[in-house]
Amino acid sequence: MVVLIELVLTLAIPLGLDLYLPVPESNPLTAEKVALGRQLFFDRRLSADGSISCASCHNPGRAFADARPVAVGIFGRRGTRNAPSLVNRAWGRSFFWDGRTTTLEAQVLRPIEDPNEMGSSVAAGARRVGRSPDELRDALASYVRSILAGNSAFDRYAAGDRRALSPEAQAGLRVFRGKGNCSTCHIGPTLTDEAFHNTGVAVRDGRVIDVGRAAVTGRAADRGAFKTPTLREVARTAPYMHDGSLATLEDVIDFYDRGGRPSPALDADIRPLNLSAAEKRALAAFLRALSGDVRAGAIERRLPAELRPGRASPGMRVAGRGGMDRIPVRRAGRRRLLRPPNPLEDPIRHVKQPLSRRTRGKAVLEFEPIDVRHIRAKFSAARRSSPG
Amino acid sequence: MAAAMAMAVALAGAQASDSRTLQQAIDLIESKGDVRAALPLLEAAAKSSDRAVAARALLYIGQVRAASDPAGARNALERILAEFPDQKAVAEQARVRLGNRAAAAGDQVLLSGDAVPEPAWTSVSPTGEFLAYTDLDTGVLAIRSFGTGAVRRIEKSVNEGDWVGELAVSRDGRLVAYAVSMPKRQSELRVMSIDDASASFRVLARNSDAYVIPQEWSTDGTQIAVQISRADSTTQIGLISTKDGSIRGLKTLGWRGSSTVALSPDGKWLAYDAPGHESTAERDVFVLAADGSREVAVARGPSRETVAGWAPDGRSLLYLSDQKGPMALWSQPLVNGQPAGAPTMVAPNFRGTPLRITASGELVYYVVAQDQSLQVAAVDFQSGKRLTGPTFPALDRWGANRQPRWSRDGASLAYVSSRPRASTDRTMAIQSLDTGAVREVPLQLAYIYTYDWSPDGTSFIARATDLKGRQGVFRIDAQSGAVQPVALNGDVGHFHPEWSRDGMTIYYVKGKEEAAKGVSSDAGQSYIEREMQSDEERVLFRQHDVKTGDGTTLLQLRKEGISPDGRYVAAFSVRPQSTLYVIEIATRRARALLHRQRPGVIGRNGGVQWTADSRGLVVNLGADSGVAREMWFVPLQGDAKRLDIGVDDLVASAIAVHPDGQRIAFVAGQPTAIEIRQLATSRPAAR
Repeated sequence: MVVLIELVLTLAIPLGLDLYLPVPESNPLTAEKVALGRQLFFDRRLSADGSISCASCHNPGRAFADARPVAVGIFGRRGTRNAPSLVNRAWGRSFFWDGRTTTLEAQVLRPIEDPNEMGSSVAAGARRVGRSPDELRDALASYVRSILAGNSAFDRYAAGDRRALSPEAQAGLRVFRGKGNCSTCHIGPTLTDEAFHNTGVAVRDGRVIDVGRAAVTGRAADRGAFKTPTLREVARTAPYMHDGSLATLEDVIDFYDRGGRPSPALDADIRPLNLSAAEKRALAAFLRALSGDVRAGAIERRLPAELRPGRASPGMRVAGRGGMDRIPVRRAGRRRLLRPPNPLEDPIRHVKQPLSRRTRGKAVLEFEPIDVRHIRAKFSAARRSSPG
Repeated sequence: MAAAMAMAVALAGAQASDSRTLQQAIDLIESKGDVRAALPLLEAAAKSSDRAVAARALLYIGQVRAASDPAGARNALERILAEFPDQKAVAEQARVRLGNRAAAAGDQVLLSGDAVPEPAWTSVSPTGEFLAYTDLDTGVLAIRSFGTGAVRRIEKSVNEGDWVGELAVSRDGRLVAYAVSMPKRQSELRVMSIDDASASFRVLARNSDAYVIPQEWSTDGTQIAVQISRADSTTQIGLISTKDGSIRGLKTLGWRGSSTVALSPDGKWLAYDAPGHESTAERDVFVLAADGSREVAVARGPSRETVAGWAPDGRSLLYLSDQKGPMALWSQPLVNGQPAGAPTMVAPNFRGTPLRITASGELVYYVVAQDQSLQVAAVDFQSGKRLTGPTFPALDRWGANRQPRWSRDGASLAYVSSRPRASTDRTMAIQSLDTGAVREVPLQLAYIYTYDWSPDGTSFIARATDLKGRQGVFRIDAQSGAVQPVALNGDVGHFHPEWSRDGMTIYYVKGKEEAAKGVSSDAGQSYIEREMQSDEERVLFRQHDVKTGDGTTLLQLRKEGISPDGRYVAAFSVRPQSTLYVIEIATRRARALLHRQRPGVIGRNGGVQWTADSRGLVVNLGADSGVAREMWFVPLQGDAKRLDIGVDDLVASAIAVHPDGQRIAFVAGQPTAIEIRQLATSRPAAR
């Protein structure tokens, strides 16, 4: 019996992150879109003068953040805010420092139209790259969604490797969760509460110079409030704060140790910490331990759950092209049936090469790749196989 | 036309008269406690053509008659549901008071009374034959047969300070997974045989910064759905392998997590519920693929939806919802993790806590019906004789009010009031003694444990859990309910905050949480004075500095209080016997004032307060775990005196002594039913 099996495409989730990665039904993740998104992310034609791409400010080598205090767009135009890291934005609930968009699909188009960034229009940008605006949007959002950071020393420590963090970093973790009060806002796998807080950064001489979240909500209480950034890869994303005004991690720690900057709507959780020098050093060591692997577009192909080792049972139904088919499947052993290469790296090789053949005495399973999404599976009875 | 107008005018006049009659009755009960005089007025108001007045009158009849005439009370409440369903707020209260879902035809009571354990630490076997639970007296794991009632303790190796928490019995009924919390924030997830008494437990996971809560075993026993409560106040849903303890973290929720996580019989799906945001009590139900590949909302809306469990065949998910009215049990068919068709109602008016859907499809659930009310009595502390009362302030929210506290000027009574359908679970109510008017302050807190009025009445200082799941000491604005953290718990906790008389400082106990709970003999607690302006802390004394009369007893600063004159702190020893001490701050000497042989019976759950003149303390004194039977005045000099407060069912909870030295606010009443029941889920209920 031969059936066509649709592979489950998922992102390879690094250690420390939730396995469930939210993807909107309107823009399902595909390898094609992620690959296109990656091309577009580096494509300067999206900007009005062909000088700026997404990667110009979201540098993959710096965890998709920018080394400059504020973003610099076409014709050298300077923005007012630091380009934030794009890692793990798949789990984001709002985007930009002021949270003005609530989906990645909405977010990715804004910089194209921002006069201080790419200074173009979505329609014009799409035309220049030969795609429709919807394709542009969905591909860029899919690629950004695939930018994941995890597997840090802290993640390994949390997973049980007690030697993964140095004693100083462990002391820093205690400060982070205790006296430093950092984990009030920097929580969960993404190390952000996705909420907005006024730490006083936007206040100069008693005056709020960037209203932040209030520009979206219109609420006075939100004047000077900005979204909590992730701390993953934070050692690689200097300078810090929404305006890039603090150059080093030590500067940031000193800022919070002083209790932020006086502000009319200062968050109730921002208050002097009275950290010792040793505690500050420990905290910095811990923050540096939040750097790990940054991956983008790392798509994994998996067999449907019911065909994975240990899951198969006789008589189950498997979705295949052309409808449902009834397949007699025996347990196929403990080893993975498939470990296909990343087609983004070499899609031709992926399609051309046979993937795997497994036998366990009762049935023979042969897999043949058809395209990046499908394989042909041939189940043939061997020796004592009996259909379910 | 004119006749019609005249009739309308007459009707309006009669209704206004009925409303006044009702108010007279309320005044009699709230301010004088004269239920006998109020009842005829309530009966008259219950006949009013004004449906709102009639319904409220019936509600009050149902409340004040509960103790003396349970059948009459029940009849009044049932009349509300039958005749006044349009009076929704009143009907909801009546429903709550009627004891949740009355045992309907087909419901079977499996267990009742004192034998019923806390539902949070209970797991029913898949066949519904027995339950595994944490014995609250000993903190160890036990098994109780529903059929024979036989109890067997199966965990014998719990150390001092260890505590068995949540449990899950495997689908074959042979193993139990259970969480154990230990001192110094350590915890373990263990698995143990239920049948083999000689077998030792196996540790699946050991953590210092996460607490793994077992939820439901897979059918093949190879994994357990868990919730992982993490140190950063988040909760992660995941699966733990029973072979090697490896954990697959699937989805992170806020600190409140899911009420339960149910693993489908085929192991492919996890059902859970979660609040939409931090400050709401409303929840939605989701189904998440066990491989993390997708998630679907099953029940969502401006309502409270919580998971009950999967049907045995895995083809439908049962959940509770109040979206269409009173809380009901619903069944949603699912195909491949997706809703297939409309949900059907299985049981209306359901108010229990689901424990398990058995292999044969019965829902085993826990139900408790309370009949407790906030009351005030005036007593002569010298003679112990009652002067007036008890009266019943806050008649309108009978049963929902706890933790009374008088303002320092005695003009107001504050209490915490539950609001199950509100955006926050609890409200601080402040009642003026002059006008009787109640002002409600929504609490931006998830839970409030103890609190104290500031001397100027503008704020409270409270030990609480905030909406981010942080515990510690918070200041609450008495007008807006806005909350400001004062001292958050970290490696050490902060407990029992109180204001100084001048309002410049607060006092609290600082130390390890397990010591404050009395589950550990850790003597590392300190009594702290904190300057509110500068946030500077000063240690007034350390626990181990305190000298008792015989020089040997280690005190635990538990449910203590500082005397209004700032000279003494009240403290308790809870083991091996109960003793009430006062510690003189200047000398750090402790003096025993009251002694009882049985551990833990003095001042349970905040049931102690100083008199305003610092002459002595009023304390609750109990005989068993739930009910404080007596209230005593314990002077610094002279003999203790039992106070007649006019009730014999005093609840072991916070009490408040008025500055006049006579009035005492307290909570009294008994649970009317605590049961574990089961109902069949296979047939939809009639609409």
